[in-house]
Amino acid sequence: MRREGRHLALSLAVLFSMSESFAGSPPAKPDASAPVASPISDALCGRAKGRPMKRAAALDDLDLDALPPDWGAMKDETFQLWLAAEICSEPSEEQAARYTARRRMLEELGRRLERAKLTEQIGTILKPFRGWRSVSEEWPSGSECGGCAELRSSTTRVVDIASRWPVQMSSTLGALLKNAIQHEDLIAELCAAKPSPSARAEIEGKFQYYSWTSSAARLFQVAALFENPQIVAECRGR
Amino acid sequence: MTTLDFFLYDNRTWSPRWGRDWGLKAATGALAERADLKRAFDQYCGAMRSGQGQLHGFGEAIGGVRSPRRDGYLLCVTLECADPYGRRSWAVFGLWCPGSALEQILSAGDPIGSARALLGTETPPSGIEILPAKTPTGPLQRRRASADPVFFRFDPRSTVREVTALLLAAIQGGALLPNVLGVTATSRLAAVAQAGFEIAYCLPMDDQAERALARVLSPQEHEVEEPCPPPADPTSPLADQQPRRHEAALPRQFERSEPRSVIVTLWPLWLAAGIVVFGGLFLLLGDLRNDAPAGSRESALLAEEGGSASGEASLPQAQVPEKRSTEAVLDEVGERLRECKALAPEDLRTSPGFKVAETVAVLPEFQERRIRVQQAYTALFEIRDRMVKRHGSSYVAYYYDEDGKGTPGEEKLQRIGKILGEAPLGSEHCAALKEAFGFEFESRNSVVRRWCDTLGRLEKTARRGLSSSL
Repeated sequence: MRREGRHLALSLAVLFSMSESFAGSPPAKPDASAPVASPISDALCGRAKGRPMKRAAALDDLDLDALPPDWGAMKDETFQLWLAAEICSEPSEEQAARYTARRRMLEELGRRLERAKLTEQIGTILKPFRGWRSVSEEWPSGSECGGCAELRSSTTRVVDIASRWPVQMSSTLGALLKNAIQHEDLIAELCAAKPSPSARAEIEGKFQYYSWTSSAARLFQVAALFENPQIVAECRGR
Repeated sequence: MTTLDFFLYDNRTWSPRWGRDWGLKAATGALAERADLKRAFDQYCGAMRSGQGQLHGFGEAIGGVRSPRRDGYLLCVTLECADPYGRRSWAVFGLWCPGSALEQILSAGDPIGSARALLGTETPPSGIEILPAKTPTGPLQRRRASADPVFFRFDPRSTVREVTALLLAAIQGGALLPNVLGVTATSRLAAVAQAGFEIAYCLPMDDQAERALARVLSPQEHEVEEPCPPPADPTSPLADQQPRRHEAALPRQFERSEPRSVIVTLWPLWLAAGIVVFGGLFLLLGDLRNDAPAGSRESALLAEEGGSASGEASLPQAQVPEKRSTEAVLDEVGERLRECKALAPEDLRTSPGFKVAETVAVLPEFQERRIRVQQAYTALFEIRDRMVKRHGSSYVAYYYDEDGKGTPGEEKLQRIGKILGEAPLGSEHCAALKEAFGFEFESRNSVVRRWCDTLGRLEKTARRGLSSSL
């Protein structure tokens, strides 16, 4: 009885997601620990008709770098239903093979989506640096203090990267994956802007007075950014 | 290496109970529960100051007390340092060496360097990691024949090594470890003895302490004190015989008798001692040279002092006032005066650090440090003024170039001593400037470095020649 109830709920959720009339309120989440067969399952096996069948068929030659509109406009919540869908009941050999191939494509898409969400968090870390005014040359000059020059350069680059970080306007798969491509480029730029540890040490050792100023405090904030575990993890090996 | 529990007594580390004021700031591990050792450490720290609360010019010192429970030794390391306001101060670390740990710490460790590494840490760690010794502990003989307790004059060049050798000798000889007060400026030497210290190293800061020390110093001390040759190469045949020599460092109550045959086999050491005596005579001749006219002495004086003055002049070594002629001291002060006259205040006012301290604002939490830096510059100008010219008070040049020229030598020296003793002569201010503007001290052409070098030499001259007047 409970299984049938859940089946019904999933069917309704799929119907709502297809009509996109339920965009404002998310459908009930599937129980990940006990995925169940559903119209999505049937579509993945190639049994269903209509929009689910079209979506499922698109998975057969899906270009992950340029999702078709049907998949690109899909909300993450809906995608999770597809990802959780079990194989259809009593599949033929051909249906099972089709399900497996489509499932593999869904998993790959899921991995990209997870990576996109992860890189999106770097944007949150960079948020405080958005809108910082550019770092002007002041005492000590870059020729006097190499560490100061290095940290100032890092700061300028970090501020620039933070300002170019794409603002997440939509949570559709298409938008998430498109931003993720930009994120990867920006993260690569960010890692290249990492100052050497000796830069800060030079300021604190030889120009300690400068370390007491608000300018240096900003530089140290940037130096500390590169010690954030998530940034460290992202930059490892780059 | 080994990690030891430790006590810390200072006036710079913050604690909920004492704030930054003088007090016990750390009692880690087993020491937290040891009231007996806390009392002993407290007594040690309390026995160090002079009547006026002064203690400076020693750099570092080492001493210690036996555990009342006889389960170890509390090795006490005293370090000269600055308080949070940049004023000269000191800190004592009590390193708890349980059981037989002391021998390893003294022979293979660097307790002073290890303690110094903790200076300035906001939160003391749970233990002090003993770094390995940079150089092996070398013995230093100091044979004495006096009744206990014994008082020595603290010598920054040798006392630490002497105490280390003395403790090692006691350990290796199976003798009772002595309670050693590593440095004290007190004049109440009877109280030191009553507190249970068997050996104390005195660094008088005032006449009263000087007189008190003179009363208890054994007349033989000056004769028998003999520095030993540098630590022997462990591969040399001499090295095998070295450990026995530690015993010669012990006061009589800690000594063991030495079989004659062993003494005979120590002929290489006697040879080395002969070399040292010869070296001593050579140095004595060098001292006599100091009484020569200033002009002929100038280059030697600069060569001797110039290297260490810049920045390193922050902690001048305490010197026993030398018996030098008034003329010789006045000549040296005259040389310092010429150097001070060569310092142009305008150059310092246009130096990078000065301009920065005047114009570059700092965050509110560092405002106090900026003020300290500004005060340091002001102090440098003031010291030069004390030497060269100032309004409304006397200055040193008055006694060289103006009406005071004719003042009799002794009186002149006394008045100059008073002028120079009005306030510190620069090292602590230079230390504050070096901390803030380290880059300025890297260049030989730096103006502030030249000022600090000059004032460092002045400070040294004042300590060496005018300490009785200061």
